[in-house]
Amino acid sequence: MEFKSVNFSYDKKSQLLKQNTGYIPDGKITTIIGPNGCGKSTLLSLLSRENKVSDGEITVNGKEIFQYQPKEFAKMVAMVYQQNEAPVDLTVEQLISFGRLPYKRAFKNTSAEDEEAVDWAINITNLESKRRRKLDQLSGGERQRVWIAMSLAQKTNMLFLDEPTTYLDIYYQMELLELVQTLNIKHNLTIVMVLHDINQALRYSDHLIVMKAGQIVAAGNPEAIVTEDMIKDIYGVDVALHTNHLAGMYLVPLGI
Amino acid sequence: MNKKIVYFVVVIVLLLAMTGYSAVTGSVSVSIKELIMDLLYGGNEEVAVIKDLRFPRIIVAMFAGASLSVAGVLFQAVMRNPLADAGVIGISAGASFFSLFAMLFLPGLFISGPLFAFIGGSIACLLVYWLSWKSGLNPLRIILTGIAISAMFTGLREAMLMVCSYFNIAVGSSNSSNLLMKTWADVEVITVYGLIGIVLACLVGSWCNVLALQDKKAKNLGMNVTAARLTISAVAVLLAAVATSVAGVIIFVGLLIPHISRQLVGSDHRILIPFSALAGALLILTADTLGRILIAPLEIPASTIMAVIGGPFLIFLLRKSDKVNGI
Repeated sequence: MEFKSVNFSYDKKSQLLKQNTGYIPDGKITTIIGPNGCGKSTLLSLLSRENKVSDGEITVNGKEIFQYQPKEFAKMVAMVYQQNEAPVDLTVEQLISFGRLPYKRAFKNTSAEDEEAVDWAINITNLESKRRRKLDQLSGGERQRVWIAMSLAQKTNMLFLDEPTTYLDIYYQMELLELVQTLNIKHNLTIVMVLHDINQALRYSDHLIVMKAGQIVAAGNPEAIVTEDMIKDIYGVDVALHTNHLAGMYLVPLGI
Repeated sequence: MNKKIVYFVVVIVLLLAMTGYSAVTGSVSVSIKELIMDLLYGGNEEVAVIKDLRFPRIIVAMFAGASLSVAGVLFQAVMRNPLADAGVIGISAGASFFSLFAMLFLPGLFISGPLFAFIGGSIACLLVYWLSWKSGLNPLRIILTGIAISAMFTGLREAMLMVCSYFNIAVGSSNSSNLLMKTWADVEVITVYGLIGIVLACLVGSWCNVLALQDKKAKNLGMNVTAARLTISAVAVLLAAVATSVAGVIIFVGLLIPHISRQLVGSDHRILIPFSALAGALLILTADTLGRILIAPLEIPASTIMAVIGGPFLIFLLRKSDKVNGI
């Protein structure tokens, strides 16, 4: 996936994204970071077709994303949102099978392929024991996994996650990021996520996109682009960067 | 699953029982046996009266209830708002004003009543969307806008009625919001359009299920959200308009029935829609029958009974509405 001089604004007055160019490497984990309001979630919403660019172009396999049929695109890119809504009386399994919607034809029942995909998604997200539970009987971490499973049932090559670890405690955060890593390595999914925690971004990403005030200021291998000066410049925070033989590169905030 | 079938059977049995009871009870009353004998062989004068006057009324009441309930389910799905009801958000008032307009100026056309009701309902619906849409639909803003729209159309309608009475223009029976004096012609209108609407509603049920997720999620699943929303709204307006043009404005059915039905059979629209249709038919038929016999020979219109039950119910829903959408 590539994007070229992408501009975006909801109204004509305030430009949320200005002249952003970049790419999402296939089969890698890409993380977008930056301070609040820098436009990282907006960029993700453009890449997932939720919003349309005001100017510029976004292409997948050389084809502008809005040239694809909605269902066709839904078979290529799945998105997991930070906050989700669903009727409370649905079971985990029913909810996950919504992910099969792009494959449904009118007046056709569930196919064997649909069932397989749902089973696969439930299996990977480790929800087997919960499949008949209702959503409101699950913990926050399990609920987030249900939403990921729904996206997995879409059987896409690309999975986008908008701040997937927000609202979760550290155990579930780790569980989720490990799951994302497994999906990337074992199942070769291209991952794009927005994260707030720079250390998590450093630890789990192959490719980092750093944004500030609606613009991409750096992109590339995390170890290569992240420096103490750069963090100071982007976030206004003094940090110390260290390397640990288990954790790799990590930073400790020192002050402002 | 079994529980849901039981609820269906219970509602159907109650509906049949109520139909029978309603048919034989009232100012002209016969026994069930006489009724059945006459339906088979004919010849009973009292039953002939019942067939001419009461049967149409029963059928209109049932279809009005069913149409308004299903319209309520659809509006609630499409506006993502458990409080949306054709009566509350002004669709019925718009339909009612326009069908009065049609009756005055284009009385010859058989189709004009329902057609103008549909146009009026659509205008009201568009106004509600347009005025309450601010990067998404806020539940409370829809209700407030709807109340304003409803008040406006009700006022316009009353003004027109006053002008009519000043010039001594007689306005037909459907200016009053009750089920008096229904004819077989009314039955024809409401059954044809009502059935079309209900069948269409069942077809769009699975879209309603997807809309229960957020818009952006529905979009991400490859759904054309705008087209789905327009289609579902059109079906809902059709149902509300037909019911209003024949049976007058009956408020709160579309609020009460979908809510109770959701508690009983769950939120899957493929089941919820047919169930609401049956339950709505039962409720309005019951309200109308009670209205006929409570203080006979006076009659309380079904819409009055519904307003008395529905008002407190709306307050109840408003108080717990933050929980309704859950998660």
